[in-house]
Amino acid sequence: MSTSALQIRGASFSAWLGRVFSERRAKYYFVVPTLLYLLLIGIFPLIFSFGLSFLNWDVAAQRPMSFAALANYAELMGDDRFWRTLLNTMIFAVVAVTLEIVFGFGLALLLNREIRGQTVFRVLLVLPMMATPVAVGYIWRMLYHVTNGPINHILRVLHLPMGTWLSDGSTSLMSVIITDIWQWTPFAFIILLAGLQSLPREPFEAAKVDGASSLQSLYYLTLPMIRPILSIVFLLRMVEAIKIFDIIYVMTAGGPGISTETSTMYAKLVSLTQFRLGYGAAIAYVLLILSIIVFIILTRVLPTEVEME
Amino acid sequence: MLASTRTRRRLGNVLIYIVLISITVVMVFPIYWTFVTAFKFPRDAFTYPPKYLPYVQFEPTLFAWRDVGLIEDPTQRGTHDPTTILNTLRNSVIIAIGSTVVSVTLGSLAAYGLARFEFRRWGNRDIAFFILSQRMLPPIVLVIPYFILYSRLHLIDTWHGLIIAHTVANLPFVVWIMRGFFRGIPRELEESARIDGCSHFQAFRRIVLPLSLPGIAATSAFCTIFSWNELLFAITLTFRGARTFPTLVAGLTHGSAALWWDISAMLLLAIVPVFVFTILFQRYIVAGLTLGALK
Repeated sequence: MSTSALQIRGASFSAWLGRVFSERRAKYYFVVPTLLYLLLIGIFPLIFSFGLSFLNWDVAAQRPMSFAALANYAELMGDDRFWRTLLNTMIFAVVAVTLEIVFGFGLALLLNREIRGQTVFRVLLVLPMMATPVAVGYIWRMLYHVTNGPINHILRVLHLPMGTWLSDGSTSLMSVIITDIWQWTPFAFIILLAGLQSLPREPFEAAKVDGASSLQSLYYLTLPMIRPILSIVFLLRMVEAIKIFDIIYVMTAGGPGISTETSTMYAKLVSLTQFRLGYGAAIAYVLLILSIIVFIILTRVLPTEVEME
Repeated sequence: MLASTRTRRRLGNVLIYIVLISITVVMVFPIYWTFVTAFKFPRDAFTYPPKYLPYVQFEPTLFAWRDVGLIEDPTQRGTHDPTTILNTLRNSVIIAIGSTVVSVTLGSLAAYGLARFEFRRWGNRDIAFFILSQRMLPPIVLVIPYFILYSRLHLIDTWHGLIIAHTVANLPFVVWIMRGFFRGIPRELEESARIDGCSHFQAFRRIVLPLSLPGIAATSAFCTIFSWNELLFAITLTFRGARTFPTLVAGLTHGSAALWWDISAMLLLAIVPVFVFTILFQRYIVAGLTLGALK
């Protein structure tokens, strides 16, 4: 009795398994785990955070949580510190990313030829990008040190004016930008070099035959052909640069004053140090919306088809 | 005439080399500086003028390594506790490997699904965009709710908690790159396997996966490096038992005077593994980066 019942149950179970995992549905089993994961761990917290931004939830003050309606967003409008951090973030992102692309493109042009030791150059030049940002922050703190750091020493030996770097509010943001350029120029360089190497050779040979100078073929051939890749690098780096937190956290912790504080740092300070969770969430959300706007504008303005397909 | 163009070209080449080498020196100098500082006595480390050349300007020493406790020496009492350093290093390794395994597994499956099948109801474009959009949002938007939810769910300060968080950031990247890789593999191979009676999943595992090992290597390297380097999630979601190495290092100088020789030694612990990884996987990493960005 029991064996036959088991058999029947076993058979129906495997039939059920067969139905659930049918080949017709197989494609969903490839995609659904990732989608579920991102919905649960990515989208749900996002919605949670949105709700949070409408709450008065001040853990440190030990007041009960209450509905704040738009009070957090209203406070944000008048919060000078928030706007300053937003300005810092934008200046940082635009200046750093633009210069990274200029330098990266220059380097890529230099290395885009048959040259001995190309691999060695490429590996050495890629290292900064891989380095732990916390380490990068400390390394540049040593380099920038006003009295004992090597940068000021080298400037002095060359009889150039020495800098105040991180120690002064008027030069701190610039110094942080230089560090980011050091770290991320390799990214632009590597991608643009691959882009240059993938360009067809014939137009350049034809131009050479017609007597075009190398500057002319750079301007009329290379630039138009490489422009979509330049745009993609710009877009990818902007998206990342707006998130900036780690190197600045280590280098200046936002100082002197708030001269290098970014919006991410401010939101973290408000929510996780002062424990004003609702207000912190509101700041984070405004940053999110702004980065979406930047993304949309860039995809419209830049000559690129952002390949989704 | 001929000779002059040849000498001009040779001169041009020399010039390019000079420019390239000077740029490389500038780019590598910060890393070099960390190396030399980690092998200096305190009296050599922060002096004016700075000392650049070992053996010439200063005598290299393992002082810092004894001071952080990684080299035992009964005559020198260390400033730092080596068990903290070793524990955080262990945590970082576990979290990086965990997050890499989860993201590469889930992400490759999804990438394959998107590369090979057509999803009529949602549309492949929309699915891909949804996945990728997760990478674009500023992580601070997630960090705050994670902190609250993790506290309730007892996920704060655990390995799996941080693995879960890092996977959210790594998954989109894996999907993006692996999709490109899978597209480069001819469909015919799987189709013939299917005719021989393989299921979709078997075809994926036996035919496609072995062929895409370079892609898997590249994405794994990236995921591991991302997780190893990450600070924002780590610093909010771990603080003692599961604290990661960058989190420990980031907290070193807040408040106290910086012991630069010790810090440099610890920075090397963070960056040298990454550099070894980069050099080992050099070809794949470049391929992965450019594939991810160009298509």
